[in-house]
Amino acid sequence: MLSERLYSKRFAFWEVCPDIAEIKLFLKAPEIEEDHPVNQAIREILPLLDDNPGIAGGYKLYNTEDLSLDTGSQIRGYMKGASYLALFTCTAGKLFSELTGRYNKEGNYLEAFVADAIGSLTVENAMNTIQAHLEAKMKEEGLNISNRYSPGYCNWPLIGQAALFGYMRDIPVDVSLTESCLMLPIKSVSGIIGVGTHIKKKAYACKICKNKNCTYRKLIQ
Amino acid sequence: MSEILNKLHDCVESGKVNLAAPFPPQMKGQPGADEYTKEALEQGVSPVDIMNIALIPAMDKVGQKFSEHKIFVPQMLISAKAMNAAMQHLKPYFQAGEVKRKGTFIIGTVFGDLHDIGKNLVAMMIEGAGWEVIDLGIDVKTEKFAEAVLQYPGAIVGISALLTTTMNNMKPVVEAIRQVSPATKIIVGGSPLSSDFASSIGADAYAKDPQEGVRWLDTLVA
Repeated sequence: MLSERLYSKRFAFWEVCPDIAEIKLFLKAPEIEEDHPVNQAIREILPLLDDNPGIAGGYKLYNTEDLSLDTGSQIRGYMKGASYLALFTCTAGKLFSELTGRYNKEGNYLEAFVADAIGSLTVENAMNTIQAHLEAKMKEEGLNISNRYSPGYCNWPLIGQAALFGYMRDIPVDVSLTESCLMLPIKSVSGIIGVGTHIKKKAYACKICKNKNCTYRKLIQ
Repeated sequence: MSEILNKLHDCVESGKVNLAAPFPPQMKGQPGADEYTKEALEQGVSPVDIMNIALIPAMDKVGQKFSEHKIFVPQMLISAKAMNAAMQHLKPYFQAGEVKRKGTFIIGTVFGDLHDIGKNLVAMMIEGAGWEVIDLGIDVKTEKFAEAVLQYPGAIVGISALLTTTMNNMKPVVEAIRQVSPATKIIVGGSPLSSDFASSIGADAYAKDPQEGVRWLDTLVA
């Protein structure tokens, strides 16, 4: 029996704030001058995010046989041998949508783009922390974890979000789903992580995923 | 190209917005698109020449470089900002009808979808190519597209979607537009789309990036 089935955490922005080099790499502007507009935008935006109250994430662990999720054959293969599945959600909060909306309205599209990028990195950093907590907890139980997989990636249809969210109502994280399976706030992630004695982390799966425009691919290339 | 138009072209291509802008470093302390446009008009250069000789070719180069992955989104947005600085001075001439645009382009992200970065990039590049752009925003309902087509007769429509779940919402939009205006040309775009998908929903074209959209639009006025 697992000692902890449900976990959630709220973050202060400084705990999960991407560093400037990481942001610039994500924006494909790693080596730019101090006065470059991207640097100016980063310097302007980061302080505006200091008081972001909405960054939170969590997971709930289920026995694999208690779940009915159609993740597609690819992810099903990765979950083979999993005794448990950790269903997770994590959000960087609605401040990012508000900020990008405001910048777009003012015609400051570069600033909107930079704020959006910081939001993507922030939610990934927060989720990395949640995943690290899960990994440490499962290690105590003698269990391994897999990579995390999300609807819309690795051939798991995005429509799978609906079933996934049906199992995550207990997680106290404020993320909702629209009819088109879009998460709100937009800067949110969700998905599953396999847990078991024979489960392994794989080299990142971008090479076999069909989604050529995804955030994860951008992060590692 | 006259010297001032040449300078204006370079400012837009490299993203030099105005005198105060410290970027790009090699142009620091020099006038930008804002000042050169004003100066060109004061010198009697026609707004049409400013558009056709400096601004449109500069943005075309930017779009081409983006297509070839020589520059990325931030650089494109910086150039668009310089272009906008120039366009502010030309607005009165557009309003007075002294400068004709190539046509009207209505754009929006399909209903159910809240993504706007791709849509905004396309809108900017198409405006930079000399079109009047009517941006309907995100999560645009079918009826709103149909109403816009009636409001702007002869306009071309662009529909954007980022999700596999929302790309399917494009078909009812295409059908609704065809119902009120069968001859309206429609182009679609967004990362999960393909030209096969565009054909399957009855759209006239698919663009994989903004520049491809600009090229297609230009074939309609050629």
